[in-house]
This record gives sequence, structure tokens and C-alpha cells, in this order.
Amino acid sequence: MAYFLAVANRKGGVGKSTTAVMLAHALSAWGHKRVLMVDLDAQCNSSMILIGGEGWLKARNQRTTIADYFFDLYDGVMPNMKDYLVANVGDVSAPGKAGITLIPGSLLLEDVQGELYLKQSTESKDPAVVASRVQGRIKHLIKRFELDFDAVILDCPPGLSFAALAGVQLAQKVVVPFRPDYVSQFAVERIAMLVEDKANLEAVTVVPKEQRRYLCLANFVEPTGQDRFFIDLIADDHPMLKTQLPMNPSIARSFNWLPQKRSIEEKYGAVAGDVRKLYEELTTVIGA
Amino acid sequence: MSKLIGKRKREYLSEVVRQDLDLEAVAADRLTERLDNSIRSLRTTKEQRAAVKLPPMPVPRSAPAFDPYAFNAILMLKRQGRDALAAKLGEIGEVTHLRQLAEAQLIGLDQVMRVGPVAIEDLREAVLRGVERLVADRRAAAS
Repeated sequence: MAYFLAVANRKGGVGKSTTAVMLAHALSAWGHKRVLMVDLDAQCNSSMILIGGEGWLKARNQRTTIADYFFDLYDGVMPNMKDYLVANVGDVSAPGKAGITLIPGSLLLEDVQGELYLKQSTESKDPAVVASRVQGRIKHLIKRFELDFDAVILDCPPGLSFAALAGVQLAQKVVVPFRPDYVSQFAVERIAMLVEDKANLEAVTVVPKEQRRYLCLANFVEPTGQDRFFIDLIADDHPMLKTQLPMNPSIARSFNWLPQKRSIEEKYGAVAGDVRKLYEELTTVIGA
Repeated sequence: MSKLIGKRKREYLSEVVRQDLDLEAVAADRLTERLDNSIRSLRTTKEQRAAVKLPPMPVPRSAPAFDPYAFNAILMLKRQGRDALAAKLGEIGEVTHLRQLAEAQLIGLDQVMRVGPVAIEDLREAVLRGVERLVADRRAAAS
């Protein structure tokens, strides 16, 4: 059974896709896991990192993106669900059967969710019921891959789409990357309330940190008093990974997809050690 | 390079004193005045120059630079309460340092508290209220 891990934050530009891909590479290369990356973000950044622009265009042309998967299978029509998977993606080599498979993202994901809502609304007039059913159905569709993989990584969009909510609900752990700055504390609190299904911060903090389903990851960290100040503020109320990802051009460069495989150390260059630390800490937490 | 005389000389001295010496505004003004007078005296006749006695120069403080992140005011208020934070702020004896702390830790102060002449006790109280406001704002935002 696959372990479901979401990477989410309602704030954009915090490094969600970069972190999601980093974890996918680490789990496959170092952990020898079969990893499924589900790109739930209509920006499709993790797809770009894993298959490049041309690979993504091919998936769009073949109608094998995540939006197509949800739309085609929503009513229970049973095409082969493996048709929507792109196997052996990414530019990092992994041993044996390990590797990354991708359900490519789609610019149309939000539109398709609207259509699914309309479809579902023929069965109920209550918007909350309709929304809940769409979300539940999407969750079910994602969950169907659990037997074929060791880990499923859900790269969630910043907005609160049905797919994002389904992803956050489905995940056993949600990694919340954040930039150490003023607005990030508010963003972290909102995703924390969502993950823990609580109405306010006080209710979230009643849950012991080690029992919460989310973990914060400080990203773009510089060795300044200001960054330390904001990280301390967030860590006071939220579970925080000890590993911090530095502000480093090697991380930005890892966004570039190459057609040939290389080692994970080569891909992440100067930050490969940080990626390794993140992988080791996270796998200890999730017991992978 | 043109000669520094009159108002320009005064401005130059003031700038040097404020940049290089860690002094309160009043002390900095007094020192600038004394240096200005001394230089004016030096520019008198040779005989007079011989008689001029320079005022003793204040020794720049060698204390380490103030770290506005040395403690986290918000966390101190949350964990240890108002009195503890008030006591900690009480250890900061310079208006400029309190202002640096407020700026670094995003504690909002009004215009007078930020740049005007203030009593240090009033500034400490304003910082304290600013920290309380930050904590309340964050709680409200997450509800």
C-alpha cells in the first residue's frame, strides 16, 4: 500500500513543486521506492520538472493529463487507468524497479472540476453535498493507484480546488514549505487549520505537535537573524522539520529537466546534502 | 577638494559624529558643537593656536553592536508574559536600540515613537503594546 504524502501551502512561490520533485527523486534514488507524482497544480510545474515542456505537451495532446483522468473516469467509465501514467520520468537515475511515474498536470484542471461539479449537481441541490461528493470522488480516483506504488506524492495547488482539498485529506502527511517572511505565518496557519480540520489556530494548537498531520519546512533560508526570527515564530505553534533548505542557486537549477539520467547528487549539486538530510528526516517521521 | 567652512563644516562634523559614534542625539549635537568651536579656534592666529586646549574627545564605545534579534519579543510575550517582556525591554537602555528592535521584529510604532524625541519609558511601553497587537492580530487572522 502506498504512503500518501502531500506538499501544500495556500501561498504561492514557497517551493511546493520543487520540494515535491525533490522528495520524489530522493525516495526513488535513495529509498529505492516506486513513486507516483500526481500533479494537482494547474501551473504544472512539477510536470515541467519531470518531463520537460515537450513531454508535457505530448500528454496534453494525447489527453492523458490529470484533468483527463478525472473527467474520463468520473462516471465510472473504465478505460485503462494506466494510460494516464507516464513512467520513468525525471532526470535522476534510480535502481531496479524504483523510479518516478507521473500523472501530468493540466491547465484545464480547474475547468474540469467545474464540469464535475455541474455533473454532480444533477443529483443534489445542496452545494455542500455536491462539493463533498466531487471531492470524495476525486479522492477515490487518486487512491486507486495505491497498490501499484510505494509512495504517492500529491503536488497541491495554492488555491482550494476540490483536487487540492482531496489531496490534503487523502495524505497521511502534508509537507508545508514556507519562506521565512511576515506573511508566511498566516499562510502556514491557514493550511494547518485545513489539514487538522479546525476552526482556528487555538484549536490547532490543542493537538500535540507530534500528532498533527502536517510538517513545516523552512525553504529559501538565509543565515540571518530575520530568517531565524520568522522560523522561530512559526515553530512555536507548528511542527517543524529540523532540516532547512537554503537559498541556493542549485535548487533553482534543479528545475531544469534534462533528457538523460544522472545521479541525484549531480542534479542537486551544492544542495544534495540538504536534500539527503530532508529525505532522511522525513522518512524517519513517516516510517518509509 | 574644497575647504570645509561654515555650515558645510558643521554638517560634515555632525555626520561623522553620528556615523562613527554610538551616541544619543543630544550628546552627538553637543560633541559636534565642541568640535566645531575647537576647529574655529585652531584657525585663529598662530599665537592663539598655541594656547588652544582641545576638549577631551569622547572614547567611542567598544561594546558589541546591538543585535535586534537577540531575543524574540513575540515569543517572550507568548511564553513568559507581559512582565517578563517589559523587564527584558527594560534592559535595553538606548532609544536607538529599542527602535532597531521594533523595526527588525516588525513591531509597528507611530511616527513620533519611530523618529521623534521620546522618553525611553514611553518607547518601551509602545514596543510592548506593539508586540501585544502583533500577537492579537495573528490570532485573529487564524480564526
